[in-house]
Amino acid sequence: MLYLEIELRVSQEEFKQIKQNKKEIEKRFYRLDELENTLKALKLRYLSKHRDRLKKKLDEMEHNYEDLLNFEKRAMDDKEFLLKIRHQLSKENYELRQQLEVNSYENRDKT
Amino acid sequence: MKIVIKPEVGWKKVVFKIPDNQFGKIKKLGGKYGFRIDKLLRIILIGGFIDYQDNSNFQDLEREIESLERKLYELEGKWSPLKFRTYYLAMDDQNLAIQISGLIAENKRLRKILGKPERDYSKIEELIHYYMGFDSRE
Repeated sequence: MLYLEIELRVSQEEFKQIKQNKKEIEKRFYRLDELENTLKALKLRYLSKHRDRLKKKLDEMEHNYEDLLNFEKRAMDDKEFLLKIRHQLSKENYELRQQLEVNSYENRDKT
Repeated sequence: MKIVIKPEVGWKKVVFKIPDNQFGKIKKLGGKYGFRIDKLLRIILIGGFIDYQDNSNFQDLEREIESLERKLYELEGKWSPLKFRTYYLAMDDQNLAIQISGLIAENKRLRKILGKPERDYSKIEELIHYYMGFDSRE
């Protein structure tokens, strides 16, 4: 892409700084080795930060995944236990209801 | 190449005139390290240069990042089905807890009428309480 003119908007403070250091800044356009070093440093800084962010996110996700796996195991065990209890209680309540019925017949006979 | 710098507010400007071939070299450097022109210019104009001497290359870092990203994608792929499974499992347990809660109330009443001692429901009630309070957002 060919540019004839580039316009850049900066803050008032930055503008003041650029105006004051114009001569020094002009030289920077020719110091390509220093520019390359700077770009390399900035890119390394960015990549290091990005790597650290990813590591942190992966650690968190692995931890959450582990928690969820443990929860799944617990919920499966609980389900088995609850099904057993439901069966036991249903059976016991049925028997108690039968017993109550027998008792009420006996009481009726007595009266 | 003419680079015109203007403040956010106001009509003042500072102009830099850079030979096209020199600007081309700068642009090429920006491309090599993945910097856009505006970012590149801001580094030259405002940021200044960093005195940096380090021989470490970023290909190792990029490879490490790629590997981390791959692990993240893999984990994200496993995460959704697991979350879906555990949600419905917890919902099953919640339904069972509601049913058992009713059965316990009936059992207590029947035992009382028949003069039988009350059973110890503490462990089951603890579980019922846990699943009744289960929030799908957790």
